[in-house]
Amino acid sequence: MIKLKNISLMLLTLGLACSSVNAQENITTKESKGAIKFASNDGEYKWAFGGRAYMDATYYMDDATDLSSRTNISDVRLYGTATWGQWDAKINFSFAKNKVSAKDVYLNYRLNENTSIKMGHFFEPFGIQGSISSKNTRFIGSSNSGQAFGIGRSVGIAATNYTDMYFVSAGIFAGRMNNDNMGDGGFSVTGKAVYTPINEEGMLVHIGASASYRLPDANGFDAKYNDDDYNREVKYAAGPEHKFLNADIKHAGSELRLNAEVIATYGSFLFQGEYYQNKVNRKSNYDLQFMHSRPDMWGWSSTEKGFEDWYGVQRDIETKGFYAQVGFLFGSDYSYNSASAYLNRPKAGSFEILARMNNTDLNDIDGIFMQDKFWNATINSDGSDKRSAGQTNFSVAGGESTDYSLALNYYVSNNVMFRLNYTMMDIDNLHYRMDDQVSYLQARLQLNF
Amino acid sequence: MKYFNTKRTILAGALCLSLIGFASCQDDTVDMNGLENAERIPMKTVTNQATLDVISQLKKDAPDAIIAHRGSTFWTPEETEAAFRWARNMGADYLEVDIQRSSDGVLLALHDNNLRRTSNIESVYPARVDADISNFTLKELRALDAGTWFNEDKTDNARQEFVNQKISTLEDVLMIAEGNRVKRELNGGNYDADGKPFYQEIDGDGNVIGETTDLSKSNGHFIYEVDALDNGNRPGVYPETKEPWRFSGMEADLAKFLKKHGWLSTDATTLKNIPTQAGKVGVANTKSRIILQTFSWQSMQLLEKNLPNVPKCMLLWKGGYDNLAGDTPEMIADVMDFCVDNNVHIVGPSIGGAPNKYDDITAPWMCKMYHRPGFLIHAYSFDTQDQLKKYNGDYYYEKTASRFDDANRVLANEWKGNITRDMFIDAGFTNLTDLSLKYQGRAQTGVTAESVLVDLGYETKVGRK
Repeated sequence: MIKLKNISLMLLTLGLACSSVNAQENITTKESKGAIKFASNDGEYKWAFGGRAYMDATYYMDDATDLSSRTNISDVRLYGTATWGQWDAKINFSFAKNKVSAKDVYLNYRLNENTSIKMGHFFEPFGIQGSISSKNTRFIGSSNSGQAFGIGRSVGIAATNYTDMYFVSAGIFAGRMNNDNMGDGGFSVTGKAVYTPINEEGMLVHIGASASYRLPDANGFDAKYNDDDYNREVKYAAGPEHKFLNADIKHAGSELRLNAEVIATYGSFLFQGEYYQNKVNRKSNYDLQFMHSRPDMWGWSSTEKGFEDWYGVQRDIETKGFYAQVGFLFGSDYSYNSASAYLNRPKAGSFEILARMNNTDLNDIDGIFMQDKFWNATINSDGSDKRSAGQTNFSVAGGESTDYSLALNYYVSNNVMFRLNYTMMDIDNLHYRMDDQVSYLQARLQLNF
Repeated sequence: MKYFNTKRTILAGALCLSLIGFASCQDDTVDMNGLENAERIPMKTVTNQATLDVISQLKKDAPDAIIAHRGSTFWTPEETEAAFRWARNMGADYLEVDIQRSSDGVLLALHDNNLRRTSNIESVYPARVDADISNFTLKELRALDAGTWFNEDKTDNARQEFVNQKISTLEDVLMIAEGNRVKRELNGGNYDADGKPFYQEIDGDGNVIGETTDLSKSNGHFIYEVDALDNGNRPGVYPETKEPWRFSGMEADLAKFLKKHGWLSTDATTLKNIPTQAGKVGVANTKSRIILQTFSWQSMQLLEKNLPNVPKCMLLWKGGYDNLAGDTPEMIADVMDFCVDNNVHIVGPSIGGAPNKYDDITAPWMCKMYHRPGFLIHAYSFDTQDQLKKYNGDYYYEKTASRFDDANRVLANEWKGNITRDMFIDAGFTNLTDLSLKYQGRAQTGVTAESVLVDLGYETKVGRK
């Protein structure tokens, strides 16, 4: 039903757009950056249709857990955009993996040349990699930190203002569009501020910070307690098949995500980095369980604390990550777009090499991990943790990894791009103790029109 | 970049994609079978010298130990005087007992949490049938018949003398291991295994003033006498503690109890000398006379705290809350590291097969993991010859010979180079001590399970003949 709904919506939109085009007696067309754009003669109405496809191949060199090396078409998109007066609209659907999913679906109102208000489903303004399209990332996909902590698209409303010196965007959002879980959705307040003290031809310094306060979506509804509030969860996942970096933080009360970013270019040189820090405040339902229990001859359970002693302490969880990458562009210089607070796509014919170091830490562990649970530990005489028993806690062992990547990009034309990446990833994940390192080669032929 | 031709570049890119795609068809990862995992996964090893010394002592005192599970669950009502006397005379190296505590603080030998299965509580205390053992005094427990259920449940092995067998205490078990029995009313001047037991008689202040067969005038503790039918075996005792939340302070109580009765091997000042005979079981007079066991991590830590350097067995059960959640190498490695940290000496995994049909967590690669840190393996519970041969690895050898039959047995051709001794158990808990003795070549000619029962006075068979 969801697929049908999405397909119908897309066809309806394209149909309406086409009928509008046909209704115009005099239409002009022009080519811009590899795409055909339509406009009414008076320039009041503009339309564009396009799409893109990623043809990928991945080869894993793994040491224990087998990963699925393969070729595939990882994404296919079709989109339409329209502009009239002060308004812009975009509808963009993905058909990746034979599933239809909404990407950008928004209406944008320009108050003036530098200020706009956007409503719909679009990127929350948070960090660099978390708020740009995958077609613009320097590597194939975001860094593991970017994948894990970047927010992506949500349904909401946001205002943006920018100049050559700064970029400010903030909004309020109400969860993911494809959230089909039972229970109430969450909300978030997200903002990003960027300062560009140097923004000249051939030279850029861009520093910024983002913050997002979030009430996560509920993941189900417990009829027994007539409650969904305790059941919210936050997931961070990244890397190959999301195996070695994967934290599922249940019983989440609220979440705070922070980000710092920097971009610097000098001619053909690029430096880009981001730091992420997140905190999930836990919320148990022990009070509810206690109110629905009654003591018995086994002494179960006489206090609310007794539930915590038995089921474990709901610890707050902190995670973090960063990456730093350098690049060199052959054939052109890097250029900057103040409206998106990111770099423009290099000119056709350019050739780019990059190196990146990334660290993603999804471990927040107190005590000893045994049998998929965390036990509060005592200390050995030599100062090391002693495997203990008794009370458990809800620590999280999503894994930590440091990875090093190299990339080669060739911007063949405005429509075609070829990418080649190599990544070596050191792994520290309690759920994958046999895996110390995995490396992989990725290639992508990227079409857009 | 004029050096690049667009069409050629796209073709080159497509070729690169294809090559990576073809390469991905290769099998790039080592197949991780159980043995690979067992050998590769990081684990701690025992380095504590005192722990290593205890393990060495165990190998010396009780190699290939036969541990009589609850005395016997097959031939006698479990954990009764009949069960423990039979196991002793049969020739078990250890008497295995489950420790619980009565409301008046007496350490009991009883398995279940309640008394439904192994007593006539529904007749005696109908309002308390599901009550925890800790709600009963010893005197209340001694009022129950802990033998008739067996006669009704296992009619083939029913015997008249099992009727009105009593729930045992840990003291009863130690006394039997030392060659004693419960003093009973004589029948025509002769010992009668069915006779009324004598208890310690007490006055109004609880002082012991004599002995009586009237339970109501007693404190419930038995009077013992030298067992005239004892054949000289002196087995050790293998007590199991439960989760500490059920019996808080149990481990400390156990330490005091063992010391008081001279069975605490680490306390030379109180250690009792228990005379033994050559050619008979003599574990009771060794440093390994007591082996502590538990499924609970928390209880294991308390045992280590209260009874350091007394041999300890970490029992493994797949699916337990604070035990082995799963039988993956990671899960097993977790528990092994816990055992190293807490000075455990023995690992006790369950075996598969009828009649218990427990999870098989004693596979060869698992045994290799249990042995890697330096532990011994005492698996539970053996009921058949097939189980004994399987978990001792006999089926890998020519003519399926056991190491007890042939010390120089040879691996079958297909297994040469793949099978090592550390893939199998060192000892086992058994419901059929007689079968295990026969398997090990320790059975005495003409002595059978039933002949031992008859010799001990349990001669009146009332089940199918």
